[in-house]
Amino acid sequence: MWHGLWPLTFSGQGDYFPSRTGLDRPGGALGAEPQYGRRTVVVPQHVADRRRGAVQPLFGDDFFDRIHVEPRTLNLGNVSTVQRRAVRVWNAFRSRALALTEATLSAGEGIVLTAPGVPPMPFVPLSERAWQVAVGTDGPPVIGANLAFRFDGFAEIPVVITGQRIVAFAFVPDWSRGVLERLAWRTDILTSPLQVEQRRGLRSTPRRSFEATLIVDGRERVLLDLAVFGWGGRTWALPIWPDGQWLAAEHALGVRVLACDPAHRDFRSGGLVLLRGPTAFDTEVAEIESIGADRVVLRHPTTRAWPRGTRLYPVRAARLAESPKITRLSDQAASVAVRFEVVEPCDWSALADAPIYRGHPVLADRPDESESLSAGWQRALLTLDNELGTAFVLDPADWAAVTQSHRWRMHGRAERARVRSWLYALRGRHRAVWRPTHADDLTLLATVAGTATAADVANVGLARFAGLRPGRRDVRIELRDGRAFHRRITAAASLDDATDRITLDAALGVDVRPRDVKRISFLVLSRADSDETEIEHHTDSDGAADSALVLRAVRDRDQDDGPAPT
Amino acid sequence: MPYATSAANDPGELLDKLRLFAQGAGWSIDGLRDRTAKPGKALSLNAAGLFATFLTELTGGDGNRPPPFIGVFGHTGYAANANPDVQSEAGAPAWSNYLQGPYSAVHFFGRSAPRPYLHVVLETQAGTFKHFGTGRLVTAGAVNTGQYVYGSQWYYDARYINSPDDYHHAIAFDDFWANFMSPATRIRADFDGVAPRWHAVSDSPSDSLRLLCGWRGKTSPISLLKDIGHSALTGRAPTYPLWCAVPRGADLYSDIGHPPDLRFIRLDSYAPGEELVLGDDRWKVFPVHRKNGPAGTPNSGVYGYAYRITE
Repeated sequence: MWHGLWPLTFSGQGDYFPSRTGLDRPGGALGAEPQYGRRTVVVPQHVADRRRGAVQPLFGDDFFDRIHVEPRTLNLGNVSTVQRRAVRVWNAFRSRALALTEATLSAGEGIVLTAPGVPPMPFVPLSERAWQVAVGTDGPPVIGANLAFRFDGFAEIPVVITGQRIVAFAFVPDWSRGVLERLAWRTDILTSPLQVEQRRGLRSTPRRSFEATLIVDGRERVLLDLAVFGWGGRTWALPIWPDGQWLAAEHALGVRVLACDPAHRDFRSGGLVLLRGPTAFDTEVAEIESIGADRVVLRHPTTRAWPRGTRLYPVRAARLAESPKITRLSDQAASVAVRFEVVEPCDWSALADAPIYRGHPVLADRPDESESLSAGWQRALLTLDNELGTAFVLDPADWAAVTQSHRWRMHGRAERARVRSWLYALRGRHRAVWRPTHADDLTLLATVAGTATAADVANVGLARFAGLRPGRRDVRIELRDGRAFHRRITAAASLDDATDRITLDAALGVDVRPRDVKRISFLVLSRADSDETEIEHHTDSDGAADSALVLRAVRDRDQDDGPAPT
Repeated sequence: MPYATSAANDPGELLDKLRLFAQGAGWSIDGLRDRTAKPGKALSLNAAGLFATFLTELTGGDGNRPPPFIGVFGHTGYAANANPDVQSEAGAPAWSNYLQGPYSAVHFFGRSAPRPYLHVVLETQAGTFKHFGTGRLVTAGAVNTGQYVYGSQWYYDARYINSPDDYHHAIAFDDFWANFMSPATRIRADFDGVAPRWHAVSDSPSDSLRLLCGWRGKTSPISLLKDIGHSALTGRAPTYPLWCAVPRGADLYSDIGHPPDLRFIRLDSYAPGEELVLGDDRWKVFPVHRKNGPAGTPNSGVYGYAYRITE
């Protein structure tokens, strides 16, 4: 019975009873309605029945009989073009007229407020008005404004407007010199006399900086001069030059979807893009809402048309690390060397497909050997020399940290992304990876059965010198068919002058003949020797880039290792 | 302190954090003691004349309703006797099951005026929630006390684990339930000169102490509205007060009220834990158990509760 009554208990969902205007239609429960003429509605007895009861609240109370101001915070993010937003004020009282006594904007330099009228302003029941807020690029660098609405008899309702003004650095680099990108982590290392390290990464993301040379001429030269003169201390919207591309299609004014190829480029949701026409004067910076496989969707429509061939760059907020150095070429042209430091954290996706050995990834990529790679041994010797007799030298660790440089030459964006993932995996000097020597260290002499753990290799002094210590006890066995095994040598014995017999910690699982083996290299658990890495972009990301670092062996515990190394 | 979030490792630590939160929300603590009846702890507290005891029980149950449990029951006054479970005019506890820690998060909602309540949302694992609490209804008509206690008992049999509309599950403020577990909602509604009068959800229409509430049953007060999802235009979903009604004889039912700052909501367009702003109101929404989980895991569809964060 009572559930048949529930529509009566709606609050704010309209009236169950038909009004006298005849414009509304009674519900099916009230019988068929004549098409024209006088209308008779038979009200069911239980509806006309007057009963006492309590009013049941429903969601109407969430919306009505209050003042709604939406949104209450306007976070504009990085403002690089004029941003227009609406603030709506709704008098949701069903039967109460309100009076707006004041709508004031404080700390609103550079913000244009378009009001629907001048206070005091009456708000009839259920009326809504919109205030337009336009935030321009001229004004203080940090936006912190407050738009306050005051109604008679109510507490002040504030709308907080926040953001940061940045300006596009729309000049393009001179690619004959390339662009240098530097990633700098910071690691705190404590080393024991036995060369065991405790490392602590102090930065969650690297500091990133870009160096390039620009050639500017004509109006652009003066624009650069004035922009750096006026706003040189501010944050700039820096296009990530190597990740630029040309728009392949015409984009009309007011589109939100840019057809492009965002893969392996520095685009991110909530970040910015820069569109640049033929000159530095034709630019637009827009905010990214989402990224698809073949498109970037912007949060707001573009403010101008962008033809085919327009340059599109991902953008990072950056500051000039130092004053640009200008070399005057003529009274029309100048060459400018700039260095920018990115002021926002730059994340990069982790390594996806590196093989893992004993808890650390294996740097299986072959190094680029177009330039010779250096290698060495770092031994921590303690020397006591009183300059009278022979010096006393002690080798407490009885171990040498082998170093070897590794060089990447990258072609195309996928390879660059992969190398960048390696650099982020290393985190400067913080994390350790397994580095094969990528050299022909051991030579297999006889076939190893799939179930065997012993193998005969050419005698190179492994049993005599290496002593199965970290750095010379793990091997990477690469086969000609592309397969690779990572194993630990658990014992080595010299059979004769030509042969060493080594014992592996696990069988290979397949029969391996000497002629199947491409290379057996030692695996060294290593970290980078420096917190800073440079990527030399010779061309944009479709072309080539170089990066190099030196890897140094560490005595970290690896997974399955026993107690800490002694 | 009307809202706080925290973490806890086990039911005992949870009660201790609830004690601290309740104190900040204006409740008085009567005692946090070890139980003598079963292994567990008991936290007794009161606000504005409303007394309640939260209990943990670490053993018992079975494979379909595994321990540990947290229960809550209402009573009048507080007796510091040897057994904290024995209090005057006490109702039976409303239990929540399978509260194994450590918990991903704990959300406390509470206040002492104008109507006292303590609502707890426990995220036992990421995305899986349990609800329990006590308080006083926003009463309708001549109902006295109006104290409610509620819990969430999911039935972990593989056949029903992912059927949100199944009557094996006893969920808070819902009467579509059969006697597989103890009722998860109990309300004290004294009227017509009978006191104490504790009503509980029941599967018997002839039960004179039956409580009608909820949305899953065909006769439930908001059963029709539960099928109305979000607005296709705005993506917003309305929240519905959890009306409660009791039988008055002669097949008539009277509305007795609804819990304050706690609503039913469909989560089609909301994520668990999301905050929903309506004018000055902030509501936090949570699934009844788990929103649309994969097959074989607990799944309460898009049914959820919204809790108001009051300043």
